[in-house]
Amino acid sequence: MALPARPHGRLSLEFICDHGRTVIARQRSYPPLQIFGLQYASASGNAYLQIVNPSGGLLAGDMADIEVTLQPGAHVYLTTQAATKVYPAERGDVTRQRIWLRVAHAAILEYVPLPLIPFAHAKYVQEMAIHVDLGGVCLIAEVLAPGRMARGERFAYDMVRSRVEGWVGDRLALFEQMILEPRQRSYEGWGLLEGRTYLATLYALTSQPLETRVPEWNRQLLQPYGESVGINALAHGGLVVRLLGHTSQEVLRRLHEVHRLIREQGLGLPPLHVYRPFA
Amino acid sequence: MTVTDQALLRLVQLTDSAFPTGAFAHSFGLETYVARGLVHSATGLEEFISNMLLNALAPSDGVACVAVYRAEDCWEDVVRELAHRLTAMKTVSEFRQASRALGVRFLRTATQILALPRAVGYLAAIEAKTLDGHLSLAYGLICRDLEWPLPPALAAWFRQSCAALVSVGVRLIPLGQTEGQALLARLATPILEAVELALGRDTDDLASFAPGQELAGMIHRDVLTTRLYIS
Repeated sequence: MALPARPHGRLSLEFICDHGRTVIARQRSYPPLQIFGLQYASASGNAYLQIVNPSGGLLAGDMADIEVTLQPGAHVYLTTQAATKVYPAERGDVTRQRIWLRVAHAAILEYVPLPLIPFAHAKYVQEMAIHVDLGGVCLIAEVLAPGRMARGERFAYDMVRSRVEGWVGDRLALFEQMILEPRQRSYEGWGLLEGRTYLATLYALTSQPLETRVPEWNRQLLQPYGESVGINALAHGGLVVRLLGHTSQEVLRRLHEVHRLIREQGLGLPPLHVYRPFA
Repeated sequence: MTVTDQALLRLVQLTDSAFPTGAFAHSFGLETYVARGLVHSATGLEEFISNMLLNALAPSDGVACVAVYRAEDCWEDVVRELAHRLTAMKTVSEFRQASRALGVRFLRTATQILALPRAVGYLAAIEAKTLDGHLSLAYGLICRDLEWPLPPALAAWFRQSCAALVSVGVRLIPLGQTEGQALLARLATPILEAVELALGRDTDDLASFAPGQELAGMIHRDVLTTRLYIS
């Protein structure tokens, strides 16, 4: 008798701007992925939403697809209710997550999931494709944990492979791929993690000019954070931020601070009042 | 595959540090490490160079170089696709500009002294601003034009990249000349490993992971008050 196929979770969301308020125009979700009720994060009518996975994590062989579309003028802050836990790959099965983000003109998507925690022997492949129309903004902030630190797991996963492709208008603005196999190779030394364990990345994909602020931000962040944060302009618009740290709390707090700097000083957006578990 | 005497002489000439590409002016983040007192010995320098080679240079530029070398009739499409991809992948602006500047200098000099049909085509596209310049693509096309076998050609290029960083370290840390040469000799092992890695992957696996080096490159211009190197 064949075993039942592992669930193929899917979440598909489309947002529109209705008289200044962002509302869900279309929503489809297949277990285990769900969303947690829409809230409004500020008086400006932008939506705050959490992705929930009640099964507690992604198991070996699981496939999860997340698709988010913003129509012109919509503004969404999307996060996850908990960290994304990737369970061990029994029988070598890979866990996969695919994410598509589409942002129209004058729309703003902030995709800020809680950290990804690959457990010992996990095998995880993530592919993200982002399409931002001219005049739109997509901010993506991700954190990769070394494992379940509280249980002494540190870089005990088999593989994390993450690919990001970002298009602004019709130009490929961002391409990143990391293939980490920490049981086969150490990433501790100079040039790599240098003893730090948490890696965070923030991408700002937009045709809006942000690069003029970069030198000032780099100098401003050096004082409190040392050499653990760097910001640079991409070739065709937008920014990338890298951040290294020792704990989840430290990295999340610093990432949130850089995110705030870019959205308020760079994009001129009002302060965001959202619940972040580290704040 | 063996290298003929003629090919060996050309390979040595084009990957010699005296060949004018401007590589001596770049530290690829190393200057930040030395200025901050983090890399201060031959051991630290060896770790930095070997990590850069195996986690960034070989799996990204190395793989791209192999792909343009192996491309047949549709080589121009392969170059176009990889030029866009490498530009989008080099998120550190100083490293992106270095790749372009070194690639253009290398193409200009090489195409003036040798008959290099594919390299000439790429240089023309860069100068017409229809394609971005990258050293790895320039080198792959030149290797193909000169029909050099890939393994020694890659080893020579990686060795040259390592030698440029050793020379940065020797000047900045500073280290003795003999210490620098001993370090370069030890780098033979990661260089050969990097060659195997670049030859064994296709462009779907184009990857890079050097967050520390990237951070150092990102803050190099904004944070260091005195700089001797462009990157």
